[in-house]
This record gives sequence, C-alpha cells and structure tokens, in this order.
Amino acid sequence: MISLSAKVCLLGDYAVGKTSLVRRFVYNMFEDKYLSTIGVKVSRKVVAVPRDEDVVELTLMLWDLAGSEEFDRIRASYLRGAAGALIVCDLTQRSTLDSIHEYARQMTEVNPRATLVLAANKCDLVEQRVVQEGEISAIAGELKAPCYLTSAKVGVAVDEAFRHLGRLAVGQ
Amino acid sequence: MDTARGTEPEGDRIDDALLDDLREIVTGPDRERMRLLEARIAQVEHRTGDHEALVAAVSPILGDAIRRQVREDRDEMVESLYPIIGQLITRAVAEAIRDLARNIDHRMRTSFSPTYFLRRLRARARGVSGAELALRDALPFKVVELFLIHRESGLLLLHLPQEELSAPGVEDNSDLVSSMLTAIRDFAQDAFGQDQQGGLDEIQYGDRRILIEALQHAYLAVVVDGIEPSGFRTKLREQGIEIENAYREILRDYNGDASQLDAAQPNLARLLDDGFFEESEAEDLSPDQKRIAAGLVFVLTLCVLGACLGGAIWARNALKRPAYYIVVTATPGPVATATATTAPTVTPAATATPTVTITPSPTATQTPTNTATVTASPTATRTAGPAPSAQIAVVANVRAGPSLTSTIIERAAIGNTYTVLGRDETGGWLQVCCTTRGDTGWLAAALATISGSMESVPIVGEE
Repeated sequence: MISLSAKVCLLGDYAVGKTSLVRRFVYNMFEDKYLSTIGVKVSRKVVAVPRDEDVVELTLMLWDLAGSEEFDRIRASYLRGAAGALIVCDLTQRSTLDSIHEYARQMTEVNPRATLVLAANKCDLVEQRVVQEGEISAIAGELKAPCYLTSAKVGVAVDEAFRHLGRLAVGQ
Repeated sequence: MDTARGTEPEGDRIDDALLDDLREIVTGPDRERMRLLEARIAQVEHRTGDHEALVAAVSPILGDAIRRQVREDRDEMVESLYPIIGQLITRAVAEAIRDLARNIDHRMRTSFSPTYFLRRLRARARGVSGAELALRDALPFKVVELFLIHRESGLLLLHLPQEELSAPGVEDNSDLVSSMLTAIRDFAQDAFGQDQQGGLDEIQYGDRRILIEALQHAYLAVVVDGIEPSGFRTKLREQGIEIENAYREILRDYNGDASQLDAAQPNLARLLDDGFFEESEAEDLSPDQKRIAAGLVFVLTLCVLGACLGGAIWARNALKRPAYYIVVTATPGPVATATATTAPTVTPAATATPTVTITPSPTATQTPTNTATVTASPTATRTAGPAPSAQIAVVANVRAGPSLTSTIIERAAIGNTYTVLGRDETGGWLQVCCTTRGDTGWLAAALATISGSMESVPIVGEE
C-alpha cells in the first residue's frame, strides 16, 4: 500500500467548532496551550482513501489554526504547503458565513492547487439554527467545494468531511 | 405495703430521670466536645492512613513553610540542608569528574598513534595545550535525533532516532513533532523576523538543543546533547546540500510520498555516527591555517615544477633528443559562440580562435620523419542565449571556489540576484557574477532559485 502524507488546515471564525471537529476526528495529542501560544495546534489522523483502483494510506496532518483576528498576520505562513483546507462555519451564527470567501481566497492565494471542503457545524442545534442548508449549498457552489452539515457534538458527518478532503488531496 | 412497694420504684425512676437531667446539665457540653474531638481524631486517623491524602494535605503547608524560611532566614536553611544537599552535590560532581578523568585516561592511553600527533599539531596551531584539547575532546556530545522536514508543509521527510523506538506502546510522534517545529519556526519568523534575514536556528530545552539548518526546500533539525564539535554545522550543511541537490525536483513539488527520499537515509545516518565528526574536525582548519597550507602547497608545487623543468632541460641537453614545440596561433572568430573540438586540438572561440599545433622536430640522433599537424575540427556549435540568473533563497555564502572549504568572499542576502556564468561538473555549484566588488564567485545551487535555462551554461573549473 502506498503511504502518503498531506497537510490540511482548518479555517473558520472563533468558536465555530474547528477544534471540536478535530477532537472528534482524531485522538488529541497535544495540550490546547499550543493553540493559544502560537496560534496553531497540529494533530494527525491516518485514513485509507481510494486512488486509481488502489488504496492509499494517507496521513492527514491537521493544522488547527486559531480563529482570531490577532493571528491574521501569522496565518499566511501556516497555510504554506497545505494540500487542502476544511473551512468551518456555524449554523447558529450567520456572521460566520461572511468570512468563508476570505478564508478560501487566502488559502488559494498561498496554495493555488489546494482543495477545499466546507463544513457547516452545529447542525444538532436545530432550534437555534439561523442559516439554512440552501445558503450553505450556494456558498459551496461558488467555491466549487463539497459541503457537509456536521455536528462535532454528536458526530454527524465529521468523518465524511475529512475523508472527502483526504480523497481530494490525494487526487491532486 | 403494696402501695408503699408500688410507689418506691416510681420514686426511683423519677430520681434517675432527675439524675440524667442533672448529668446532662453538668457534663453535656463536655460530652459534646468529646464527640467532636472523637470525630476529628477519626478524620485525622483516616488522613494519616491514606498516604495520598496526607501528602496532598501537607505539601502546600510544607512548601509555604520552606519558602518563608528561605525568604526570612536563608543562611539557616542552607546550614540545615547542607548535610543532605551538599553531600549529594559533592557525590554528583565527584562522579562527573571521575567520568571525565576516565575519558581522558583512555585518550592518553591510546595517544601514541598518528591521531595523537595530529591532535598535538592541531593544538599547537590553535594556540592551546594538548591537555586543553584532550579536555575539550572528552566533553560529551551526542546526536540524539535527526529530522529532515519539508520546509513549506512541515511534513516529515526522514527521521533518524539514535535508538530505535522499539519499546511496545511507544508511539512514533516524529511527524507531529516536525509539524509543530515548523509552526514554531514560522511563528518565530513572523513574530520576530519581519524584514530580517535568516530564521530560527536553535532551540534549547534543558541540556538538549535542536540545531536547525535551513536549505532551499527542506530543513534539518538535529537534537543534540552536549557541546557540538567545531565544524559540525558545516558538515550538517554539507549533508543537507547534498540531499537538496540529489532530490531537488522531488522536494520542490513534494507530493507527500516520503519513500522517495529513503535513499538519502545513509547520508544522514552518518551524522549520527560519533566518529564522523572527529574526522570532520580534523579537516576543519581556520582561515589562517588554510592560508599557511595553501602557501605550503604553492611552494611545494613550485619546487616540483622547478625540479621537473630542470630535469627536462638537463635531459634534453644530455640526450639531445628532439624537443616538441607548441605553437599557439589566434585567429578572429564569431562573437558569442563556443566551438568544441576533439583532443588534442581545442579551439574555443569567444572573440578569437586559438589553434594549438604540435610539431615534433627531428634531430640527428632520432629518426622521426613525420610532421603531424592537427587542425581544428568543430563538432558542435552552440549559440548562447540570455544568461540565467540565480536569486538567493536563503542567506548564502559566495565563495572563491566550488567547495565549502573555499574562502568566503561575500555573504549574500535573501533576494540578491546574480548572473550565472558557469557551473561545476556536478551542477551543485554555480559560478556567478557579480559580487559587490564586481568579482565572480561560486554559489551552492541549492541555496538559490534559478531563472532561465541552464542548458547553455558551460561547465567551468575553479579560477
């Protein structure tokens, strides 16, 4: 089996649930203090993804970037060399949709061949939802990126979103 | 009687009740205090029985008490603790000195060897005594781990631990370490290195250090214990440049497949070999020593040439053999063309075409009758296009020759652009122009981004 590694970034506003998605997807290795100190926390997950009628063992190095304005200057360097990004927004906060295009722009500016997947998180909070599925689909369509309605809390579509990103990264 | 018998116990009961009341009034508070005390004793007994709980309860108090005592009466604390700590320190220092002495003894016992004399020479040349050099050599140094990391993505390309992670349950987190290390480098560069050249090249934690050597598309991170020998960095850089040269294409468009760099493992494994640096240290000479050595080589070469020339003249006169004359003529040629010919006649023509003709002259004692004249026969003609340029990707040294041992003539900043005039046979070194003084120099190709075609760049030797 071929073994490959790929760097993927998690982008999104503060408190949309990026870290929770990573926690749900992988076993947490490092303390959260890394995140607050330098604005990034790296985790790893090995997944098997299909490619050309074969299976590739893909090690995803997940760079969970702090979603805060103070790290904006640093973020560009953290994006370098990434094969793709999971852009996360919050279905209960409409304002988190505003920056999706900016994250996508930053990513493709640094890595023109990077692939994107959109994750609309907190789909379990049905009562508090203010963003409709159609709006997410429309944004995803503009970005030409697949989208998933996820819930890190109850584990809905988290694996699928990351695996899709892995498949796209391998297929580059 | 019955009545009397019947009322007596009733009276007793009343008396008992009164006595109880009285007892309660007199001893009640004491009994309550007793009950509370018993409860507290039981609690203390429980705590002293539970070791962990006892430690947890006492630790903060003990810590505070010691801190206060140190603050208020340091001398008394030192005196109190000296019998314990002083003894421990004395023992530890004595053990370290014994180790050092054993190490030096071992070196002295094996000192009657060519290496010993080389060391003595090195010591003299560096202005230190043999004992001081032996002491320096005896200081411990160990490469613990080595990482080759892709510079942009932080993905791990190669990892060489000194000891294999063979213990069950020990997870290899080297890829996470390489990513975090890259994040820390990027953070340091972004936070502190704005508008500055270079980058993070060392991290220290406790007795260990991570030495970082940046290349064009990758970087080496070496975890070391102790003080590295002189020349370590040079050797590290040299190995890095070799790998960068050999795997340039793979590293530039890295696809995440680290197995493509498996063949580079032996190169890096050499860095984990303790003996490797002893050799490299012997090769490492100061600029003064290099000048002296170069002077000696020059004088020796002159002597040898003189001896050869003298011998040749003597032989010609003595044996009266025919001499061979070399006639060099020059004719104008086309501008900016290069003409390669087969040996023994070579006709490079930039602005002129020199022709070398070898003509043996017969004499009375020999019978060579043929006069051989070889003329130029061009086999390939190339028209030179615009010269490619090399833009400095990391801080680099421009050297007098295509070697890491050549003299540094200029330190090139990131972004500096040079015109490429030539390259060495391996393609690892580029002859570039011009330095700030207008000279040509040599630059390691791995440290620059090349623009333009290298096909037309000629292979040239060191000037």
